[in-house]
Amino acid sequence: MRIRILRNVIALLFLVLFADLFWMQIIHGPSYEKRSKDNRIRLVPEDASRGIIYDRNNIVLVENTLSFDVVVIPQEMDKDNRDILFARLGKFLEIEGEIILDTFLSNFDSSFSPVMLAANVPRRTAFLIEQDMSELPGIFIKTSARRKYIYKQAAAHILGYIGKMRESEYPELKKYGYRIQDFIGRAGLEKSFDKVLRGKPGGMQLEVNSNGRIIKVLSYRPPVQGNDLHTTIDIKLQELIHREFNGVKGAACVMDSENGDVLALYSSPAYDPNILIDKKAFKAIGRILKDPDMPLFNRALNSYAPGSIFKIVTAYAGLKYEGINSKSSFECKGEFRLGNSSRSCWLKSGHGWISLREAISTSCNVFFWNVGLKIGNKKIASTAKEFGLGRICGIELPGERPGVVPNGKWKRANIHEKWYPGDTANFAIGQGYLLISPLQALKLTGVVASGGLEVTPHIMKKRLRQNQKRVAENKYLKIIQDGMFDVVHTGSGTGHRAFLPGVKIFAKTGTAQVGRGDSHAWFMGYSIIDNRKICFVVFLEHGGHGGERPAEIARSIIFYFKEYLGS
Amino acid sequence: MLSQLSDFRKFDRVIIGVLLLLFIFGLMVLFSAAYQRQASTGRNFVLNQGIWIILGLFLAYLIAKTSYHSFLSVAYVIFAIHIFFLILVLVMGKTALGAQRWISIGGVGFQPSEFVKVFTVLALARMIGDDPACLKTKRGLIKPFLLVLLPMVLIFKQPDLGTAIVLLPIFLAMIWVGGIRLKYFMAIIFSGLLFLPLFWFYLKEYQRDRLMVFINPNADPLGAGYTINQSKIAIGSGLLFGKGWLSGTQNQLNFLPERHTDFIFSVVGEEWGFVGTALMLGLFLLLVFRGMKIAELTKDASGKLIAVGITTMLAVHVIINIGMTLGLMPVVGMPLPFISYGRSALMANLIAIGFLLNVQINRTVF
Repeated sequence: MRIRILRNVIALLFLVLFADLFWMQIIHGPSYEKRSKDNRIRLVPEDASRGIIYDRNNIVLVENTLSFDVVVIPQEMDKDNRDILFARLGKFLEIEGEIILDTFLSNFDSSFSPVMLAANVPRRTAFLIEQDMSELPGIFIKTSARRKYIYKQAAAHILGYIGKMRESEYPELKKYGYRIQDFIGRAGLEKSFDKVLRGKPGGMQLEVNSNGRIIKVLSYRPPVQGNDLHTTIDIKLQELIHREFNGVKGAACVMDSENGDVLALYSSPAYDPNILIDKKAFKAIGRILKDPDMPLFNRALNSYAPGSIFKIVTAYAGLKYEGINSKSSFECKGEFRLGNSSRSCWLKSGHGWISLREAISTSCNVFFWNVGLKIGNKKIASTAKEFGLGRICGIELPGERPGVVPNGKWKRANIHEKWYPGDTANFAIGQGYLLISPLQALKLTGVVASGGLEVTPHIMKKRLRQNQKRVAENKYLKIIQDGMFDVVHTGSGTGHRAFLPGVKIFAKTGTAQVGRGDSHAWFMGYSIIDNRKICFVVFLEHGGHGGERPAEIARSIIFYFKEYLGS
Repeated sequence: MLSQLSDFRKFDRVIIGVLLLLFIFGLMVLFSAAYQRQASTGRNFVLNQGIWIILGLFLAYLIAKTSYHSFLSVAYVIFAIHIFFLILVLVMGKTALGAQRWISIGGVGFQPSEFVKVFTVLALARMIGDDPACLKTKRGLIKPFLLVLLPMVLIFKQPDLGTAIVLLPIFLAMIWVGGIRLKYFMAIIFSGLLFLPLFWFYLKEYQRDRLMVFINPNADPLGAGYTINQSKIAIGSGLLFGKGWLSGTQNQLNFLPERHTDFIFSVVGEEWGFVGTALMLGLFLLLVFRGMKIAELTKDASGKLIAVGITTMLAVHVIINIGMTLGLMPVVGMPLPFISYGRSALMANLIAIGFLLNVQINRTVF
């Protein structure tokens, strides 16, 4: 009995549906039919313009320009007079009607979807066609905003680029108001600040007649512009570094140690983001993607063997844990015995009896092997971690790698061997399993330059000064700073090529031997110009010696600041 | 071979016939609705759906063959596993962005919320079947209520309002047929109505928007209101015989969002007209009548309740989905059984049919 009642309740609800269908399709059908046939409602989305990105001096790095495409909706054109239509359109575009017909036939998809006839036509042409629309049934001008990366390769890895959303990404992004046709940031700031930059799209609900002409605007929601980004980048410096690298693999970063402002962050070879957003540039995009030098890859955030620049960390650990002091000296005979094997200093003839200051300036391996074995790998590792190695710096760019600060546990887990004294020796001079990124090297330089404060590199302008945590003691750093001064200012210093008359430069070279290919070359340090401490790191992947090309690039960077900041 | 054939003969021919007609009709509509999308993505929607239908029918056959009494004995275990899946969805949903309804097992993604409906019916049928007297006292009602509330809250949290809501009428139908005292039943309905406004505060912003749009379709003419307006134009403009297969302008001109899933009935209305919509609705109604008939003829309480629960579940889906495309119900995101594109819902509904036929052939009759 109760089942009957339940069944009848359901049947009653079905009856309501039947009745409503009858009402809509039969009684009011003609009025709906009229709405669907004569007065088609069009939803015209109006994209929010994406935020602009500025450099530290308010120079525009990325802006939006308009692009005009000529399209035809096949269903709305007069099929019998197709040739006349295309010939007429050809006059505006200054091409033969037959060529347009060919384009039309090869791009044709279905009679309802717009077919692209000419992309990115000049603004003037677009306006002329727009004026003559009544003579060109079915033809439309589609405007869309186009991102323009003004400095092309120079800021590619900072800015990144945008790309069409993939269908697989849509379900997750839908909830945030993204639409299937949207562009989203694919790299750099465009990616990490996508939600800030994109704004909120608006649109119009229009009533159009059978020719596609607007009858009236039913409703309008204005788009909300995306927010602009103000960065700490100096685009002029960025361009200078781009010229200096000239396509050689590597990276460079520059920071003001006072506040952590990143003034430049460059990875080489770079790519032109404008090409990646150009729908027509298939070949050029393919070239970028297939390039064995991987230009899309941000080398400033990837980790590499640091070599001798790491001796700064070993030196600090030695001083802090009292393995050595400023007066300690070791004898370098050009060779160092460890157990049954021997390893040689880069200077085969040896450095003789030398102190820490001299060991830094000449980059003596034997000295740091002694220090490393005296205090042990654990103390070096803990110092490295205090200086920010082995974890990401947290810069506002995607893809940062934490690198590796190895210890016994790490080696057992990854190499399946125990830790040998030889590993400690390698570790002490920045060889072996240790991996750091150019950005981490920059942060490390910041600690030395600031006299022991943790300086976190950042790209977005900050209104508030960050509270800097003390991670090292100035009295030990002073000794290291002396050695770094000698690197550039003495004839025997490994980095004397960076010497610039009248400028104080504190630096350390690094030449990291790697399994195959040439050594990685590093040059890091800081310079005091006009009371500002400018930290820099120049890294060349398989680039030979740190004291050579990297030192010269660093010299150009410092020269730039001397010209602009010095009196 | 012969014995298997005789298995088939035992099944209710009307249900089998209605299902086959719905599938043929549904695939034709899907072909048209997904035509543009298939051209642009290269995904073959009809082939995929066809494969799932065949797999689902096979699954339904396997389920129908083993007496439902065996399934009842493990009903709580299956129910618990699905509750676990729902929790898993919520936990994994936290790591991904926003709403998460899917989990993936062995590389195949599925929506546990679709399946949990069927197994809630099974668990509830077991609970009431074991102790029919529980519906006679206030205290006794607490256990079945909590059983339904648990999956409801978990699904609501995903957030998937539509699927969570469906559990309510299923629960009401089952306790009604299970023999609840009329006094209690009315009390439940009225207290439900009283709590409705409170419920508003638990909704997410976009869910509130959709409900607002239901009250005033012009509140958001570019969002949910747009979908309803376009759906109504599509259905209304179909007239008596429709614009013809693949010829619906609303459909082919991309005026209808989600038209291969939740709004597929709008395509039926536009391209097949009143003839098509009435036929489809009629087929569903026939299915409901046969399902209720099976329940009526079943003596065993649990079997009866399974049939009632499943038939109600299918009916509610049809009513809410079609009501939504007609603008009679808020847009809550719910597929039309056997017609909308989607693996999980299709499989779950065919499993449900498996249980319905199971009751039909394995019941003890009067």
